[in-house]
Amino acid sequence: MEYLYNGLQEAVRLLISGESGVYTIVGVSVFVAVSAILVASVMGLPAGYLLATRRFRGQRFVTTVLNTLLAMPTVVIGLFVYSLISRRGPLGFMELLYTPGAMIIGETLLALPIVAAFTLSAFRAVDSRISETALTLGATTAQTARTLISEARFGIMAAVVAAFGRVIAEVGAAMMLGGNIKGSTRTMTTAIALESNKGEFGLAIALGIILLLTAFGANILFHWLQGFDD
Amino acid sequence: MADPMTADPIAADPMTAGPMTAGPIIVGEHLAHRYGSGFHLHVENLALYAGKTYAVYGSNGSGKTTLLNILALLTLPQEGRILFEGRPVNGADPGRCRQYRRRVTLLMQHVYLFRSTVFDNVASGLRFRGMAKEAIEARVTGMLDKVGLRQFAHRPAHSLSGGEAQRAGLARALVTDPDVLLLDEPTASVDAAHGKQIEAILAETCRQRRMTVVLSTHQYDQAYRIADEVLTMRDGRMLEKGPENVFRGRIEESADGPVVKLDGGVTLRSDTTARGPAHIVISSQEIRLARPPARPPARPPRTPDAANTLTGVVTAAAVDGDRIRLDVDAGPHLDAEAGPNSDAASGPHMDVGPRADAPSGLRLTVHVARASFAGMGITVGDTVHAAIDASAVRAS
Repeated sequence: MEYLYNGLQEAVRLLISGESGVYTIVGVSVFVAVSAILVASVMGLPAGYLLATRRFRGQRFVTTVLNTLLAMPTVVIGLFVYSLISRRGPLGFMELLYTPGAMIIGETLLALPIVAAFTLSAFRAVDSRISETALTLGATTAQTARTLISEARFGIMAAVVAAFGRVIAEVGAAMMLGGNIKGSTRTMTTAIALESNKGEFGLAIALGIILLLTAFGANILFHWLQGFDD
Repeated sequence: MADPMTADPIAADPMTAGPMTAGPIIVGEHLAHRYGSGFHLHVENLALYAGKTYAVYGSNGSGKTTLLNILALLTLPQEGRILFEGRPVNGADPGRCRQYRRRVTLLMQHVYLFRSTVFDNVASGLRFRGMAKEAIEARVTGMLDKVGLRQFAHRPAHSLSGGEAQRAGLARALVTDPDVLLLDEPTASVDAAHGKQIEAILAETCRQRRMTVVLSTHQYDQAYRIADEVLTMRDGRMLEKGPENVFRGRIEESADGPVVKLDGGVTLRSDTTARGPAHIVISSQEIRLARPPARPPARPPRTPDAANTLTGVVTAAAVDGDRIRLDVDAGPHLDAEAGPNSDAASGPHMDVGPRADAPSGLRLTVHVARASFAGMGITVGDTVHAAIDASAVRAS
């Protein structure tokens, strides 16, 4: 157990000194996660809204697929994107493999169903009288939509936070698509996997602490936001 | 129209530009709507005039909410049309529907307040109309003052009590200065004190602004206290217009079955299964009139199926569609021969008439088909016998 204790000591030293590029790794993680969440939100929020407010053929099917995608293993997403962007893949010419861009694509695919499905249930959960009330007050279609979004805002924020928590903590897609290149695509999760393999527990534990705090923070924020809907 | 805010976008609305006609502001023609549950609303003719207050009176499930939702265009009627100032609105383009909704607003029975402050809630209708910030500020503050919520302006709307929320909803509807205000049971979910307050606000504002108000209620006394005209609904249909024969009374058990003791001092036989204090309805189409013979017998004539026969005087007659509407005053001043019937041997027949201890009588509205009216030869001032079946005397 000695080595664990030493590892913890080393972790605290690294966190304070910032040596071994701890904060560069944290920076890459946050950059990739935030970029992916932004792209996923731009697509997922409107998708969730339309699924909740419009009636069309195949709606149930789309909703079921969306909920199934929530359980998508991250390595499968990694495999899928890898096959597209590897040199022999259809997008191979873009030379994306082992770049932050590749990771953002993978994490976006991971985040998209989460954002869309949680947004869908956020709109489903709001009171059915909201649109009617807006209409009786003379709202246009766009104003009615804006009112609905405003009333569902906490649920929507919770959807984004939940997706962020999943993306920042996953390792499969990040490893396969980023390749764990130091200073470029090395994230907290891939670094922890590599460092513990090497027996370098100090850096792994230091990153583990930050990752844990980030995940806890996102989760607390998520439940706090959901609490507004009661 | 001496409102100082006439420069706001509400007044600039293209639909307000039309000339004010003397005709009804809203007309409903052959409105019909069916639900999967089997409920069927069918309102043949509805005309609402500017500046009047209407009460839509009926029990739960009679179709009041459906009718109001249709008039607010929240529910599009499956059949029929709605005319606003003579021009059809349902089936028109969305822009026209919106213009209509900006002049005809609905306050739902269970008000939904947006997740924002009381001020923002009341301001929302004006913001939808793109009104300038200063104008909104002034109007909303004035309206909050009027409903007694000014001190709550910057509180979250969800912190209000039920009665306060209802007033905030009313303020939110009134501040847009609608031509027609539809209210679905505005006082049903608040306590009596808040109910009184809401009635007072309505009375004051609507008189000031010559607003048309349509309010649904299941309280008979509220309907008659507030409204210029009461529209009675039952099973999705509107009963004939004009004062329905609704009286306060008590249904009691007697040796010969249930009797209804009306507050006017008249007792009627009834088939109703209800007991205790109630509002009693006698359909004006189920009263049969007959002229008494030139030389009256000791009693009014007995018809085998009539459990109640009253004697009265025709005080008014008017044409109402294919029927004639007669007002019959069966008051105690009439020197009729029928007293409280002590003759128990007379079986199911019961003579009902003015009594010495009765402070007042019954003012009945009777509808008679035109054809049969012509044959009866009744005119205003005539004494008539009115026969009412026990089955026609119902608790409302």
